[in-house]
Amino acid sequence: MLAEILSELRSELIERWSDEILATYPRARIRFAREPDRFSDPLAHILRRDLPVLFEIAAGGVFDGDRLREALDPLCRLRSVQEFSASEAVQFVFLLKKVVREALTAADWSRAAARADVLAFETRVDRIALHAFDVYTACRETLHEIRTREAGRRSELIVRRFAEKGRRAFAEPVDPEQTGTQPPADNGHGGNEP
Amino acid sequence: MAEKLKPEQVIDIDYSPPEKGWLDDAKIDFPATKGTWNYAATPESMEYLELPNARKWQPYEDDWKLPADWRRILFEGLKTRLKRFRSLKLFMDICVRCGACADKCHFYLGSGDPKNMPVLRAELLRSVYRNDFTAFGKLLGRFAGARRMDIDVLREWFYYFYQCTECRRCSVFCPYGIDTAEITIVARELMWELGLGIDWVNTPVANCFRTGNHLGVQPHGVVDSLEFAAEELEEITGIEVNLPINKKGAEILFITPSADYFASPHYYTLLGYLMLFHEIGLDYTWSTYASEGGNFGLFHSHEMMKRLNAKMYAEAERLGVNWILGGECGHMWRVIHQYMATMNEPADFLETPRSPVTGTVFEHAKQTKMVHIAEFTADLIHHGKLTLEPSRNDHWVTTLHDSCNPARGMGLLEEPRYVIDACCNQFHEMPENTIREQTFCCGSGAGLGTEENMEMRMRGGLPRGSATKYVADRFGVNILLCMCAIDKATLPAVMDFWAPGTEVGGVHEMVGNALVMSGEKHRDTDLRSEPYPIVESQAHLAPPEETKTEEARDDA
Repeated sequence: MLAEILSELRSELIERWSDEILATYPRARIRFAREPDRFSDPLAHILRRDLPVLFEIAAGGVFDGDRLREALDPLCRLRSVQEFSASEAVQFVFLLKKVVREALTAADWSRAAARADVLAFETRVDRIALHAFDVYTACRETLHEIRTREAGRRSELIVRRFAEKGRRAFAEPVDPEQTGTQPPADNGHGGNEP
Repeated sequence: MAEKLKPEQVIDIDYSPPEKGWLDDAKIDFPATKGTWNYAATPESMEYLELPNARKWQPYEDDWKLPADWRRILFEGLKTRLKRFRSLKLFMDICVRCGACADKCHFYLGSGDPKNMPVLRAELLRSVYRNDFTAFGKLLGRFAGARRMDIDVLREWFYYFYQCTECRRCSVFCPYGIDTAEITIVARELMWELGLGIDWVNTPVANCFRTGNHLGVQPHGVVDSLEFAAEELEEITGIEVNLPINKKGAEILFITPSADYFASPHYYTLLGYLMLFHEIGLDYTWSTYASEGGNFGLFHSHEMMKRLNAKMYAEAERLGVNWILGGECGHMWRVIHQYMATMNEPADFLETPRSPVTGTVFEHAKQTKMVHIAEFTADLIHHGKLTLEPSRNDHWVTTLHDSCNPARGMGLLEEPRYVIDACCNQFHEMPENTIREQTFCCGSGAGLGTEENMEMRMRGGLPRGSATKYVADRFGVNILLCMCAIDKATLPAVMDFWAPGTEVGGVHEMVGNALVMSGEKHRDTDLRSEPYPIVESQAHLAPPEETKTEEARDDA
């Protein structure tokens, strides 16, 4: 039942889903009337490439975790650094439910079998959304790691130089006659050598 | 979806404007947009540069502690600049809002925020200009796209003019040649008159002014860093390189960004310079005063740009050199190429640069007396003055990010490619609309490369990141080469997010890896001290004994 509708209206549903996603952008977004180039219109490019894959999985295709994450990653990654809260960022998956519900007629809803199909479909969409949360969270985690890593890179040479100076200071033999002290006895652990 | 529209779809497009026009939508909620703006300049750094209204404040605070007559200061400031810069007056008047620039800005592509379109960013200033300086604006107000300056507009200025990296990609596509970067420069300059600016611009400028480099490292610290680099080089190559510092009467003064001494991966490029200069026996000197190439003044105001540019020439005069050689830097070159000639006195105490090794006279540098290291090295390679072993870079599959300022700002497109071609066996270009004069910015230039601004940087880094991922996926590219210290500092973060697994390096790091130095020991690591993988193509680089055994076997 539903499968037929999904397959018949496939491209129309994907397009409506895409429009719904574009409408989540806080301010009106320009629609460039041409083929979306991946570099001059990255969002449109991502939507065109990945939504069909997500739609196919939601419509009953093989639920392959790797393939799913690969299709979710670009959009989740982009939305993870755009002006969205976590819930707004992954909301795009749920919009597919809205689009499909709106496509069904009253006659479709009146049949019990169709309702069961819709529930099954929506459960699949929910599963996709859960994966989207995972991808989104991983992206945010990467962002925080990057902040830490960058601070390290900025001072990497200074730290290395101090470490090297410290190593050499301990490696130089101490003249007991000048300092009046004995060099530290080798404790068998290689001293301060890394 | 933004595909080619069918006629019936074109009819369907809703042309009715949104309820609220952009002129009425100025309010920026700073606390809610954390991650997309930078912290304010500290009072200490502002006092050091004698800037007005030095005080403690932050953009997320309600009260920005502006001077009471701030509107008048802005009005007078813009009036002065309209008289001073004919270009500004022109840029304010001639834009027809055709939209050719709209989808060219990396921040717009990554954010989807229309106010990141170069045209609309410029309109932020233009709307105020129309209101205060044009008859139409005065008479017709909003109908003529004019609006009065108020606190929300000022906050909007601060937000969006610090979301422009002054990369000038938009101006490549503008049919009128409007340089939006210059509009940003003027808007920032006006805001500084009220004491509004960011710390990652002002503290580096103050530091450069005080000690000569953006980290504020003192002369002995610079010497220490260079000596450390020379010692590391000796471990890698077995050669004690020549290290002249503050040497009066040297033929050439070498100036490079200070990040080259202190940060990674810049440092490996610095090792490359040291090796190259030693190998060709260059009579040159480092300076602990002109110890910074990067001109952070470009991100601040014309005045600061001029001050920092003058410092390099003052040092060249003091040391009595003939000409200046400049390292892999971005904005230093933009200032040299586009502004210096009309900003500071002509450097007529210097001579037209002439390579002491090849005899090439760099006629194009007649005025500035300054040559880019990529031109210098390309000339050496062209004349066969270097022995290069590109297989020493076989562990790198390279691509080149044309750094905005050397590429778009001064047209240095072929030289880096020529040098890479001589030093590396594996090189792949990124797609055409992302390189050369159309190159995408790193997204963190012009003082925006801070940790607090990370989300905006990632939005801006999207186009460069996805272009790199494109060649990484197709050709296995594992290093993005570039010729700018800001690129080297900020692209690793962009790569970690958008093209994980891709390293960032400098062109002269590749030169250093490939350069065969006379009297060098067997090289078993690259400049990153990473052991070379044993691959067949590098068999001839194996230690001498093993080579002999191989040959003996072959003979047998």
